[in-house]
Amino acid sequence: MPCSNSRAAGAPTLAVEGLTLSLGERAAAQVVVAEATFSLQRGACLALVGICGAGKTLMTYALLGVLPSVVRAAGSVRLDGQELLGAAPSVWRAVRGRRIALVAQEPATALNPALTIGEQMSEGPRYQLGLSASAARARATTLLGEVGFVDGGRRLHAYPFELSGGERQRVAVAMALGCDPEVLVVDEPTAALDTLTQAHLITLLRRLTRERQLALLFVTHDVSLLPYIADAVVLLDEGRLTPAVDTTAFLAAPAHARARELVAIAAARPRGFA
Amino acid sequence: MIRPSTSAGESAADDRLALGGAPRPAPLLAARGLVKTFGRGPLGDRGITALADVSLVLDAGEMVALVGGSGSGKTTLARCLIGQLAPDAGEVWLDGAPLLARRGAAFRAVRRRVQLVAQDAAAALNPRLRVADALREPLCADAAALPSPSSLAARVARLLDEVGLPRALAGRYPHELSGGERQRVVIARALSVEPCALIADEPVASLDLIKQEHVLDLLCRLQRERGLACLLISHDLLAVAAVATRLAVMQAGRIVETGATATMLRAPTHDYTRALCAAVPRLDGSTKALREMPDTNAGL
Repeated sequence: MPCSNSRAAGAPTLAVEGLTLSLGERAAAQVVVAEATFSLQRGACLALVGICGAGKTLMTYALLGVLPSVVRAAGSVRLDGQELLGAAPSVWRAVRGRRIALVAQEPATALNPALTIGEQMSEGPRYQLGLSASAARARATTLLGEVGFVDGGRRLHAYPFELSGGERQRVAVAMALGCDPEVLVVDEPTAALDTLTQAHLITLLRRLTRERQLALLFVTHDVSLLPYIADAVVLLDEGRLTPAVDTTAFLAAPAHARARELVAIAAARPRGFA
Repeated sequence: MIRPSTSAGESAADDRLALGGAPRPAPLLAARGLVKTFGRGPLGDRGITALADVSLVLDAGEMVALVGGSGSGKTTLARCLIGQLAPDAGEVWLDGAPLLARRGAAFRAVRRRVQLVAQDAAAALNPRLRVADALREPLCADAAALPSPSSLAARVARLLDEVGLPRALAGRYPHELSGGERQRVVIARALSVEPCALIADEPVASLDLIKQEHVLDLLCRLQRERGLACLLISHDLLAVAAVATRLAVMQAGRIVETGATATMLRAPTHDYTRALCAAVPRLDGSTKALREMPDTNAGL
C-alpha cells in the first residue's frame, strides 16, 4: 500500500484522536477509555503505561480493529491519514497484520499449538503478501534469525510447546514482522520473562524499531523498562490517557499520582543489588 | 532454608552442601537429589530432564525465593515438594519423615501441612463455585469432622479478612473477580487447612507493580503472623528479592546457587546469577545489559 508521502520524518504514522471506548448501550454506557489522543512515529517507541484493568489491552484491540462486539468505539484512528475506525472489513484486511501488527500478551495462547512454527509464520506472508510456500518459509527462517534464533531453519519444524517462554515470545515477535508492518503493538511482552530474557527482548525490540523504522507501541505496567525502550510515555488510568511526555521527564517528575506510585515502586526495588 | 555454600570463594553449584555439616533439627521441608524426567519413551526418546539432582531445604517460618527462567524446573520442583508428583529419584522429607512413603489417609494428613498456591489463579479456582464455597470445600474435606454451618461461615469470613478481601466477595464467582482478587482467594483457600508452609508458584506474575507489592506484603504478613514458611517461586528476581531472606537460583533443572539474599545480590558467584542480577532494570537507565546485550544468544 503506498504511503510514502506521509512517511516523512515527524509525520505521525498512526494518529489516535479522541478515542472513546465504552461498554453497553448509550444511555447506561460505561466508558472504559475516554477521549484518548496519541500518535506513533516511525522509528520511535511510545510506551502505554497502566495498571491491570486500566484498559490498555482493549485500546490495542481498537488499533487492530478486533474490539469485542460489546465495545463501542468513537473518535478517530488514522493510519497515514486513512481512517480505520469503523472502516470496512476489506480495509481492515489490508491493514491488520499487514501494516499494523500485534504481539499479544500471552505468547503461549497467541501461537497455534497444532501448527509448527514454520506453518504459522507462513500464513501471513502467504495470504497477505501472496508469497509462495517456499518463499514464505524462507522469509520465516530469515525472521527467526532476526529475532535471535541461530538455528532458525531447524526451529521451523518445532511446535510451540517445544519452545521456552522466551523463545515463544520471540517467535511471536518474528511472526508479527511477517508482513513487514509499519506499526508494531507489543502487549506486556516481558511479563513472563526472567530479567535476562527480558533484556534480550528489550534490546531486540529497540534494534527492530531502529532498523525497520517501526512505529512501536510498548504496552506495560513495568515502568522500570521505560528508560531502555520508550522515547515517550502515555499513562492510562481510570479511563483517562495523559498527554505524551518524554520518558526522562515522566520518570524524573511524574505528574500523575498513579505514575508517582509506579515509579516509586520501581525505584525502590533494585535496592540491595550490587 | 537454603544453606549458603560453606566456602564463599568457590562456586556454590554443589547444592548437596545444603544438607552437609553439623547435625541440626530436622527442617520443615527438605528435598534431596530430586530427579524428574518427562517424556522418556521406549523408543529411545531421551525426554526432558526437568529436575537434575535438586536439593533444597525450607525451615519453619522462613521466606525463600526460588528464581529461574521459564522451563528451568521451578514448577516441577514445587509439585514434587507437595507430593503431587513422584520424582524419578531422590526424596522429599516433611518434618523429618519421607513424604512419599506415606499412603492414603496418612499422606493426606501430612500433605495438608504444605499448600501450593498454583501459578494460574483463574485456572486454580472452580468457575462454578462461589468464593465462599471454594473456601468451604477444604474445610469440609474430612467427612468425620464436619464443622457447623455457623462456624464455617465465620471461618470463611476470617479467611477473607486475613487476605484483605471484603466479605462481600464471598458470594461472587471467580470470573467476577479481578486477577489480584482471585490470587487472594487462592491464598485464602490454601490457608484454610492451617498449613505450616506455602509454596507460591509465580504469585505476582500476572499482576501490575502495585498489586505485586500488595500480594508480597500479604505473604510477608502471613509469614510474620502465622509463622508460615513460604517458598516463593518467581521468574522475576527483582520482585521477590526484597522479601526473601534466602535465594535459590535455578537453571536447566539445577539449583546453581543458593545463599542469603543480601550476600547473593551483592556478590553473585554463579555466571547465571550474575547475568540475572546484571540485567535487573534500574530506573536511572544504568543497566548495561538492557542497552548493549547482543540479541543473538544460543544459550537461551
